Amino acid sequence: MRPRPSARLGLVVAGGLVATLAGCGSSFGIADPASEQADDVFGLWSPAVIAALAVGAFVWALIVWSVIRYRRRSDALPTQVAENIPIEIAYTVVPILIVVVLFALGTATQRQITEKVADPDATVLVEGFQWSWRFTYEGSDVIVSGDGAGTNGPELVLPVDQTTRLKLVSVDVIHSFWVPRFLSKRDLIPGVDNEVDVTPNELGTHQGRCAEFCGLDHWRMNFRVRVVSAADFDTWLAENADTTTEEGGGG
Amino acid sequence: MTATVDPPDTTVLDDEPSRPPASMRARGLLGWVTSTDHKVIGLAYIITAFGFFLFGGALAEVVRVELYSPGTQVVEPGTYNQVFTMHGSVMMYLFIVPMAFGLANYLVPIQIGAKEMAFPRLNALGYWLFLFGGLTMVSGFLTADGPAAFGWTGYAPLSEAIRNPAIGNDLWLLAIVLTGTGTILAAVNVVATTLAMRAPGMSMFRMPIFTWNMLVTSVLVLIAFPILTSASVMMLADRLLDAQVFNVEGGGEPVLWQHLFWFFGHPEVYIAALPFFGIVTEIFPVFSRRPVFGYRGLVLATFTIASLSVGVWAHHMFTTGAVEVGYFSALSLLIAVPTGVKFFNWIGTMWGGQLTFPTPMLFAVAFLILFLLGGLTGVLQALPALDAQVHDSYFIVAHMHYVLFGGSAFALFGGIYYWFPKFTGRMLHEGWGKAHFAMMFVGFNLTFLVQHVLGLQGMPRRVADYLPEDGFTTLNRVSTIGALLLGASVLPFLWNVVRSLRRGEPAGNDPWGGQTLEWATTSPPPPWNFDELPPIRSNRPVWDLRHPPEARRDPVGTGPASKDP
Amino acid sequence: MNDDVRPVEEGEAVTADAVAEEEGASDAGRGSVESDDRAAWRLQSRIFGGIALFMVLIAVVYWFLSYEAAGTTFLVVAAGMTGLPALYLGWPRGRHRTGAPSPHHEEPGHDPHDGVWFPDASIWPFAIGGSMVLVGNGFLLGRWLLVPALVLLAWSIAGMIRQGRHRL
Repeated sequence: MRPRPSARLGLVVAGGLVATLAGCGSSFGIADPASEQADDVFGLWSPAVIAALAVGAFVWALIVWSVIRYRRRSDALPTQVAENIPIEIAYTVVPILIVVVLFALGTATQRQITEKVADPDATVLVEGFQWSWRFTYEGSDVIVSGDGAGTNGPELVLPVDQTTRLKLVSVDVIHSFWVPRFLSKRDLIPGVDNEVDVTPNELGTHQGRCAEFCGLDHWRMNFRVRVVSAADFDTWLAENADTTTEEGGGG
Repeated sequence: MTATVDPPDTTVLDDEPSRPPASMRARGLLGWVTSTDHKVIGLAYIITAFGFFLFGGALAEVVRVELYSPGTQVVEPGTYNQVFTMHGSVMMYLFIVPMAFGLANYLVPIQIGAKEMAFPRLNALGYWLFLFGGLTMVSGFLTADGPAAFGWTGYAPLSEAIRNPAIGNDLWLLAIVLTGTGTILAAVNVVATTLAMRAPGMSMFRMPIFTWNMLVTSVLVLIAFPILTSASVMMLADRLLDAQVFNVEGGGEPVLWQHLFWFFGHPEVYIAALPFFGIVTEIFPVFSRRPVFGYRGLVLATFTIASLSVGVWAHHMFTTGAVEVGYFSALSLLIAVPTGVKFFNWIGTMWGGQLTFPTPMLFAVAFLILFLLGGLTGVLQALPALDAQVHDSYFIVAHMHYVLFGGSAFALFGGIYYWFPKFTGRMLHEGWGKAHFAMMFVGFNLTFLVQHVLGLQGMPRRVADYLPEDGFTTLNRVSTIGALLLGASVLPFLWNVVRSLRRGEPAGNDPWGGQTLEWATTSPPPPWNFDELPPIRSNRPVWDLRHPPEARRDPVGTGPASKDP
Repeated sequence: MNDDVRPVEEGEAVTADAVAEEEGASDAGRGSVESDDRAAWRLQSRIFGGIALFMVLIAVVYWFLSYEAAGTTFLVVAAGMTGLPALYLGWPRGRHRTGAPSPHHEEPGHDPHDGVWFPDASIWPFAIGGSMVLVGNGFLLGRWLLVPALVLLAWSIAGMIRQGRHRL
């Protein structure tokens, strides 16, 4: 193909777009990670979005370029070239390479975040029901249950920097356990035993939501995750041993 | 060299000598109800599907108005759940796919130089199943407890009778069976027509890309829709006959519904996309005055997309913990490649051309811009680790609307402006067209761009409301304002149609400088489609007719003649 | 020189015009309708066959990766269903499956002697479609609707068949 110096302008524009968007904050809108697994996801998210935006900027630049450069100037017939095998091969092979790399990175991250330790520091049975949650701390028999009223839902207390195993069980329809700041979710499906490990690494209270449409009050089937120090966690367990708390009102 | 086509000689074909031609057997309503003319049926599909589009759009406005602020604005949560269920269902089952087959019905026979579809009465049957089946689905609104309320995906166990007992849900399932059957019949017809009805010289590799895409779409329909109709029958059996197919207590499996649904559902979204890829592939060459770039590559890419799309269904199920994520992730990433190839083909068609931008071309270029974003977010979702955050959130809502609306619907409007002159003999008004385009483009992006962020920040989908302290309010308001603008953008379009039917500029055979066979006949075509067919020697016979070899060798007013082999 | 139009260079990518001329040249020697026809049947057989084969391939891979019965079943059954048209279209057969070719090379439906018939206007699709929907609703609403609807459906199907027989 003939050299097109003005095509470089398109690439500069594309590069500028990418840089600007990257400057907008490398999180690209995603919630702040608050667990180790979330950090792993975030480590995949940023480069993946940058790659996607770079490809996007390149293709958008080509489109905008075509629309500007090839506006009709005269009645002359333009080139009727209908094929260019080398270029067609190139724009097939390059995307294949890109997705292969993405798959490799994605698989590595997937392994990291679904890893389950041999001996979790705590285990909680998470039961979802229409329309709230029940958390049962195995070993200490602490139960925290949502009363289905209001919009705050029950509070799941977790120790920071320790690994808690969550066993996800549904008693009726499909629900989904989602803490946006943990950058991950897992479904609660009748008949399916789902278990995930979570290692929070930021103290504080995070929002939790149901993320699978489950009927009338799906929209307010919320819960909260309160991450405390290991010492406070043990204290809390001891204080609440063998008790059942119903909470959730308000909101 | 021209193959002449005589008007149908009915005295040979049937027993009564003095009958009028086929499509004019009766007038008015009875004429329409008994018509087997593919053009009449095609227009019926298009108009009916557009009616459902307006209805589905109105439901969407209710959704967006409700989400303007925390607290109840217009509907309670129970009703809201029905509204979004019916919005998605109407759009997916009663608008986008029937619209594609409507265009196919009208255009495929003409584009291949045929007089009629292969099975005219079956064609009509498909339409009536669509119309009456669609009315069955929305008749749920007329029942005491209202229409279906379990989302357009109908997941078990929520869709079991004990959770959603109202008859509106059963009507929904019944409608799926009926309209699905209609779509299958339409697909059979397209396959048979492209096989058996092509004019002399119209080999398979000279068919227009729209026809190719409809052929591949039809193959996908034949693979995917029977699964959906079976699944719906199974769910009806669970609901009405206690069959225990999906009920855990009875030994069934809820996840089985998801497997069944998405084995249909993923090919379904390509069924909802490929016809519209075909439409823009008709528009770009004409308004660039160039041939389609990489015709064979495009056909091959279409097959590849169709084949792969059958294998990727469980990427909708990554968060269930019950599927082999690596396999589905790999195939889902791969399917981005042929789609990307098509993009380069479209750009290559424009490259070096002499581009003009009447309304069809505006919509086609916008399609490129918007579908690209939807495709890229799709690639991100093909990675299970990332999907785990965005699944079932507003990020997915944003993605699907960028590909289905920014992609298919924008391409559809391009096609409507492009082919309206052919169907009616009159041009649509350019000014109103551009107003429609501007409002739709701005309104669409305002509505859906911010939804990516809402999802990433933690707003789930299918929620009737949210809390003030969630921090979602501002972006939801932006989205709602966009949605109102988007809804309003239909008004200049409707006005344009009404006005142009009466006093639009007469179009003539070929107002755009078209390349494919539909532009070789009158607007609208006669009942037998062609009085005279041009010679068919390439994939753009009308272009060849208008630009005979002598003229090509020495283009007007330019430099050295092109050296054709 | 107008840089929007340029000479086709030697060994350059093929232009649409060149393809057209090439195909025009080769067409003159062929038997047109019939060989186009056979080529098309073969091509469509390969389309269906190729997709079916691909589905078998991924079904095997899927099974050994997941041992998941439902998805594997769907892939295998869908592959089988897709293979049916492939077999039908690809099956070796005699030359005159579309009837005696007309000397005027008219496409099917134009030539009164080719055995293909385009039905005229017909009420039967409306009747069948309507009764199918009534039957469906009858399953939900009760026998009072289901029974008459079944009768109507039977009558409509009979009407459609009769129309085909008598070509009325």
